[in-house]
Amino acid sequence: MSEKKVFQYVQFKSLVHHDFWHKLSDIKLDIEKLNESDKTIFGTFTNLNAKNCLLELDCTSFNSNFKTAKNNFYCKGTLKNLNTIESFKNFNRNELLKKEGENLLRIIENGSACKNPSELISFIVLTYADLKKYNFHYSFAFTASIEPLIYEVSPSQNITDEFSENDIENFSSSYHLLDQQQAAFFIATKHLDIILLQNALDVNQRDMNLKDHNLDSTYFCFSDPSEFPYAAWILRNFILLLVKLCPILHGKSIKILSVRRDEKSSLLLSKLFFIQLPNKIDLDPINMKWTGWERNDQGKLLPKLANMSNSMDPIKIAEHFS
Amino acid sequence: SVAEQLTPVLRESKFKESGRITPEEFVAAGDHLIFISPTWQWMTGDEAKIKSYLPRDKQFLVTKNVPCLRRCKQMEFTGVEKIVEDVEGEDGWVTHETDDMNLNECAEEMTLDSSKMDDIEPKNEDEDDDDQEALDMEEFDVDNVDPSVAIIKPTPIATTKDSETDSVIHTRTYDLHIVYNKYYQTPHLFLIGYDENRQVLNIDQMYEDVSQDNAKKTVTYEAHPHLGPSMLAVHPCKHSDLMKKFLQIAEEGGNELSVYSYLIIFLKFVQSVIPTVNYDFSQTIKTT
Repeated sequence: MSEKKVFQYVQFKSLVHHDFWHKLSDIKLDIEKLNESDKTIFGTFTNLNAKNCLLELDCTSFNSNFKTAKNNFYCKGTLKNLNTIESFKNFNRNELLKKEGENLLRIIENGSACKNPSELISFIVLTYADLKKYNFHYSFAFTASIEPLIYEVSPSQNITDEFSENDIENFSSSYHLLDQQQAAFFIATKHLDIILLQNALDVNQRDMNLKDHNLDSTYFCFSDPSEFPYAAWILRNFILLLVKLCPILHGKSIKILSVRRDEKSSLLLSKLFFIQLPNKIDLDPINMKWTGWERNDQGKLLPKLANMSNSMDPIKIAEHFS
Repeated sequence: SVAEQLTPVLRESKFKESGRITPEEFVAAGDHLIFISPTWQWMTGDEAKIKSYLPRDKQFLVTKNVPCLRRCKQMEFTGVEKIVEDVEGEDGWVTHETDDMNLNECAEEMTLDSSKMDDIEPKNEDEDDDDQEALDMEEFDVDNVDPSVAIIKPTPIATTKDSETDSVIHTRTYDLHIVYNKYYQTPHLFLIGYDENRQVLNIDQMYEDVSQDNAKKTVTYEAHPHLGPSMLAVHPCKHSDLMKKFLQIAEEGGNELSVYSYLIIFLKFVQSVIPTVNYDFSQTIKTT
């Protein structure tokens, strides 16, 4: 019992492209001005030739009709741009995270996460834009619940250890035909036949969910942006959905299929994780603890800083044209 | 630019005579490039900057995280340079012939020769240290008691034993963007570099990765037409002539290049400008 290893996840690393800050400053100067209210933005990640488990933001994050490139997945986030460094420093980060967490619970409970699985991935960006010095202070959070704590039953395996070439090939063709929003999280059966979450789970009859599935040949799949031996952070929210909607899984061992693609889009890098869910899970929203604030490059829980003077300060730009 | 706004969109294919392509051909060649190497993808860019002559979701092409193991300066004393004859007899394109073996050796060489590293300064982040210190977020977070977090330590590619800073040199990476330039009616390559922590490099650092013969001449700093901020760009004024030359060489050899291969050839010749940026161009050009 005491030897059981806690299953670990790799957190997203935020990557904010230059053009994001340019667009943010345009929007702040021309449209939002002193408005501090929440703004919905989009971030993208990929499981194709993934490096560093990145969540990326760029100027298209602000597009109203957001469409991501073919090999990418997108997720919605909340941007809160504050007007002063003081309000940025003193902002109640815990409360904001809690609010996002409660929203996550709500979309799991009302079934919209099953219809649109990529909604399970959410993030927060808190920013303060010092437009005089071209400094952008920012903190990211990737909302996740601390519970349930899950354990690794046996070491991870490669997809080829469990499935035939034929199964993988068929799986690959149906996976690549999936709608991007559905491909984020889904379920597969014995020969890797895909079942969408909305067809597998019913929020109104939770005790019946997965009742006639043989758990030995049921694979809980997700598109994994991690290239590390660990699964990416986003699996945490899938696990939360499963324990919420499928009481039958409590205390059981389940198989996770982490879908990873190499630069040729082949799925042979995919991994299987074998995990055990706890027996007793406190799912009372009042007791739930939320986590996910990103550490800076020094590993500290401090905001990051982007200095854009090289591309925004007219004097510096002029130097490069001289 | 104004010139670009006033130039009519090229409707008929002039690919063979001029080396120029229409937006439709750009899209077809882009689709082919993605088919051949799936790391390339179409982007929409900023909604406010959409060009009407291209499909909304196929405005420009991007490939990300292309490794760049060493600086051009290190390359220039090992690489073999050769000047490709220029069609107009002006300053020619300088290409650098190296192979991967050479490249890897050189990455190791970096560890020994710290004198060459002088101008790669340690990053000075957190200019506003005062601001940072005042904010202690530990109290806001429960991560400290969360056993489910995997700590990932970056794996260094090459290290330098610099006693003062003991800094670790990692691989730089580049994102490459291929944009359609309406004025020159050719593709237009933009690039942006990142250090090991995915921090954007400054312009001078990026120029280290550009062939010194091309820096600030063929390669300039330009506003990205779909994104806004300026990035390094390979100026397209000679692209069509070079493409024409490639076509002639192919035809003399009895082959005919299809417009689908346009971007693959394009990438081959811009490689000479950014010799250290090592994207996958192993694809052989299909001739018909």
